Amino acid sequence: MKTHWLKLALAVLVATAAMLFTQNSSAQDATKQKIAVVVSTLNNPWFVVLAETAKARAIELGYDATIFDSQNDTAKEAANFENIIASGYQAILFNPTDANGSVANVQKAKTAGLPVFCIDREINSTNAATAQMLSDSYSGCVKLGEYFVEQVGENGKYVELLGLVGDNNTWNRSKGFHSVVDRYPGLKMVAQQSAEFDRAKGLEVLEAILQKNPDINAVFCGNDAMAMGAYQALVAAGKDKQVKVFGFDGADDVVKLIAEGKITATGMQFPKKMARQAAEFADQYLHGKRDFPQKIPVAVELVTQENVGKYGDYGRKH
Amino acid sequence: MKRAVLAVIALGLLAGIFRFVPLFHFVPLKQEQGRQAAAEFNPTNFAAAFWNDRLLKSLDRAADAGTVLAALSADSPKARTQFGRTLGLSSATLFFLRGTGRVVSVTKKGVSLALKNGDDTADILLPTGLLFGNTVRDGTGLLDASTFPNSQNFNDLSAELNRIVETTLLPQLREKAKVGAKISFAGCAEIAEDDADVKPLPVIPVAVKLESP
Repeated sequence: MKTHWLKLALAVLVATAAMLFTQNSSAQDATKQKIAVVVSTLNNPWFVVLAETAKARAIELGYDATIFDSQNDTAKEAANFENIIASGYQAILFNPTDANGSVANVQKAKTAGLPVFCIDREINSTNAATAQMLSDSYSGCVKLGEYFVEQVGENGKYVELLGLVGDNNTWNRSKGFHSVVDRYPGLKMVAQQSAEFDRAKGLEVLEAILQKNPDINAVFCGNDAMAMGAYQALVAAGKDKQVKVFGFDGADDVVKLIAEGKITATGMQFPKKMARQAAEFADQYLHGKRDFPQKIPVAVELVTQENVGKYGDYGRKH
Repeated sequence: MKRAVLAVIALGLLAGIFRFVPLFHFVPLKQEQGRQAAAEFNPTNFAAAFWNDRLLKSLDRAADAGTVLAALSADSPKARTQFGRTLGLSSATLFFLRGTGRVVSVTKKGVSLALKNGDDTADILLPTGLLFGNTVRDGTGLLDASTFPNSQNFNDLSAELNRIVETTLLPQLREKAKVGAKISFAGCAEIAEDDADVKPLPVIPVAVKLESP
């Protein structure tokens, strides 16, 4: 009888403890602050790494974190911001879709009291975002341009595949590259066309260009996804050995092809470094820090067949 | 027949109207991008004003090149922190330097200077070829990216500042710098994280004064 009462008391104790624990953890969940990661597209592995790293770092720092995909569409991006503002998030880690078109979304979040930290891509405003961590695309492409001249020579024909025309990175990369290459009159650009940072479009656009220009020496691509597409087009046309491909991003698949001698060079942008820093800035903001520099350049490093061993997993190997 | 004539006249009129008031224009992508970027910012004017009103009036802020080189060889990380600056999440260090040296060689790459008397080791290289990149823009620490809403403008400024150096300073270096001549200079340098041996340090000049040997 005594044992029976003891068992019953123990069961009540366990049940009460379990109930209290559940209530406590629910209360903790309810009070856990939320960080939104808004990314321009998840249709490119580089941006997946950027978003996933930002999310993982936010979780490590004790936040709930959710990724929102804007699908390279400013309207979807605006809807994501509306949703985030209405859903009680405390901060936004933001990879914008359009340097001008995304300003209003950031401003709306600011008005609602949410700090926004831009990653990789810029918005054309210095008073909307709390801080912007931006790859130094221009000087990265100056380095690529110098290497391009070394590899291709001072005479030749080349094609340029541009990214999204509304993104400043597209033009900073193009201008950095041309600031060098245009100084060599023997290097002729036979076509310049947007493939919207997209691998499939890179393939499609270069295939069409090759029809009219079968004798090119090189392709300069504003990102690695387009470089992969361009390389595929060259393989299909049987020209991959004679045409040098240059990318930009430091995507793993391109770094591997550089190691295999199939792609000539890329610019390593360190997406993980930027994403982690953005999450840490958000954490610092939520703990009271307010004095952030508006624009924080992140250096880009040239990855070539000579130094490719130092790079991998979207950064420098340690 | 009358209707055909009227139709031809109408088409002619329409063609005339569209000639002067076209419904659409074909514009090259690059030209449109350039138009948008240039709408608010004139890099040539900005660079000229910056050069004359700020940069040339700040040459006394530059660190002594000999002191910096000695510090770099003694303790590079400390010297980088003490005399240089790093931008954002970057690993390269930028320096704003000045000094006086003796020309020890003149090559296609540039003019090499020795800073110490009686020693022909080249300490500094003043490049005289094509200039690229942001070393001049960022080296002095006088310009801040955060004050430029559009980074394209900030980058256009680099190209303009390089152009000023190429057109106003480099020709006299190429033509007049002879071995044995004394040159006083101020300029900007950038050292990568893994640059162990920095001599001769390339310094892009923003001011030079030549004395005959």
